[in-house]
Amino acid sequence: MRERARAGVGFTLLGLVGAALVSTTLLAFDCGPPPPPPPTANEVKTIEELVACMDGVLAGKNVTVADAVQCIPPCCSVTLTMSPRSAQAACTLEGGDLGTKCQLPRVLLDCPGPPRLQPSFLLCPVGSGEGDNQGSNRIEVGQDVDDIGSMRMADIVVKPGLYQPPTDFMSKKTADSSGGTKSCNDGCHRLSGTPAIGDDELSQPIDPFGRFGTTDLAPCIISTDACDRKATPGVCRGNQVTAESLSDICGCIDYALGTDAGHPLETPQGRIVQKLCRAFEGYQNQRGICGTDECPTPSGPECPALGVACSPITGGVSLSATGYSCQEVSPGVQQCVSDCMCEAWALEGGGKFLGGLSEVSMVRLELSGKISSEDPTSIDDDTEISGSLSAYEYLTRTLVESIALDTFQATRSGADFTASGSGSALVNGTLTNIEFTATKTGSDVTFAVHDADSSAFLAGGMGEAGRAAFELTVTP
Amino acid sequence: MRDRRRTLGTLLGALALLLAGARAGATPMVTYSVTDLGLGVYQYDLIVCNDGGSEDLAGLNILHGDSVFGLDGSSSIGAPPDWLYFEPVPGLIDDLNYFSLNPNADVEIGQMVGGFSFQSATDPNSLSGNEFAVEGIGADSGTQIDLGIAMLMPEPRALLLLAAGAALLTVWRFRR
Repeated sequence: MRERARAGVGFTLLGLVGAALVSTTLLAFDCGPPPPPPPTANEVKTIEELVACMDGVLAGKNVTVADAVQCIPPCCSVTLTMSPRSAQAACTLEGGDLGTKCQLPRVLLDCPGPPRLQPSFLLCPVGSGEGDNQGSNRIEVGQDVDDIGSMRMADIVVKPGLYQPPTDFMSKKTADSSGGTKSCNDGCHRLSGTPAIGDDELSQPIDPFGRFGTTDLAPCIISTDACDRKATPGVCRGNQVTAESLSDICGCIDYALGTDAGHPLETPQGRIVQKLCRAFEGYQNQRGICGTDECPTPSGPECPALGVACSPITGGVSLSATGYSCQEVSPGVQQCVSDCMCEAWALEGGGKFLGGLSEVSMVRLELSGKISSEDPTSIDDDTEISGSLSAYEYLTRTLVESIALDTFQATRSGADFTASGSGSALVNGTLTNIEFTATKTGSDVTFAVHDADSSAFLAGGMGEAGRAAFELTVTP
Repeated sequence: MRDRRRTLGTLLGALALLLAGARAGATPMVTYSVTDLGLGVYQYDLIVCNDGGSEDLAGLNILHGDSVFGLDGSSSIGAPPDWLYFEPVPGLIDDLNYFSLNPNADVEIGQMVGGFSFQSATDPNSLSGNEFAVEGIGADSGTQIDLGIAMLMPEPRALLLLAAGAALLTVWRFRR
């Protein structure tokens, strides 16, 4: 009896083990290998990877479009345009008890890749679509597919609330002659190539600094850190726009929402663009092309000829400049990557300078800034220039101090350079527009600072040998 | 008694001649005294004496502020009222530059102005050659005026001891 019971227990155990083995095997067949983890922002290079990153980071959370900024790849430039001619039209909102007027631009990102990826967002909380599909809840994205800049395009909606993974976001070629399923080529972009029905619709790029039909878009740009580009705000489609940074715009939104009762930004969507603005401010300062975080090592297609312009799509040699060149990204590995890099520049020095009658000026100069550029021999900075310039001319007792520089330019060859800048300063206590030049040729240095309005000489001369020196450093 | 008076008269005459000669050959100069602040820090106090100068002085430059005295933007530097200064920039600019903002604050001819000071770890006993070279800037011409090398003044305590010793010596000689 006891033996039969033991045998029964044994059969039961064997049965359990067998069942476990079978179920494990069946499960293994059902599940297959685990899916790859969603790409991190550092790995995002395509539209699909951008969406996959968002799916991985935002799933199951209450979100707004501002939360998608964490999936923007690092080291993209940020350009703000007030152009109203777009499916994400910028606007200016004015009102409230205090009449606060805020410029609310479109945010254009340019991520060099390759492939080049160009997401855009909107800080205007009204228009450019209906309800949750309005412009400030959408991310328009272009991704280069060839050397002439043809793009596949997407329209990604991030509705406020529980995250809904975007589907059907790519613009596809349709049977009719419309501009694709997202209407990208419907009166805005131009068709590029001849994709088959159901394939990605291809669009030609629109240069935000160029012309769109008869409209000059350049005056609409109010801020940019794009490579070798400048913001020259002016009259944009009949409206005067002014230079403003993301920080300025976020500050205006904060003020309108926090202080100016009844301002048109006081809406749920206004709160969303407030968060979006701060998200981009943080992006630009920390992960942007000249942010504080270091850009990861770039990667692109392999290329044959080191230092030669190349196709960012194929890696092949290009006969014309593409903005990409074949570079050694790691020992023995040549890839076609962007020429654009952030350059941190610093100009330091001064000393004793003698005028034509040997009259003495003393100078101290300590300026620095960051720009994105493809040309390491040239600096043209009109962004945030920090530091100070002080000068004293003994004969006229002219003291120049507390300078705030608006522009700085320099060309350099080895250690030699010619630099100039303009801004404002206290000249013997009076706020004055000034401009200065500083040069270094071998051991010879010169310096001069003038009143920008009257051209009156304020201080400077030839540097006395051994008593005056300048040093311009540029660090990629 | 007559011999004693003759000796005293000769001494006074020689002293007068010496002073007159010194006055006639006077040139602008910078003197300094040093106070040991402890922990290897010395306070240098400078006086600009424009005795015999051709114009008022509106500037003072310490030529080796960085290389000899280790001065930079974080140094403790003092200036007389209505004077400012540019500190040295290590590795690029060696000078400590003082400048007068107001003609009334200039060092006028025949006058002296103190209040120029800095703290340094450089032991004054280690200074040699032209390490403490200084120059002035003329208020009228705006050009440089060579002031040579700053001269160390004996400490006030040492001066007092010297004076006391001289007085004792004189009293002792008269009593004899």
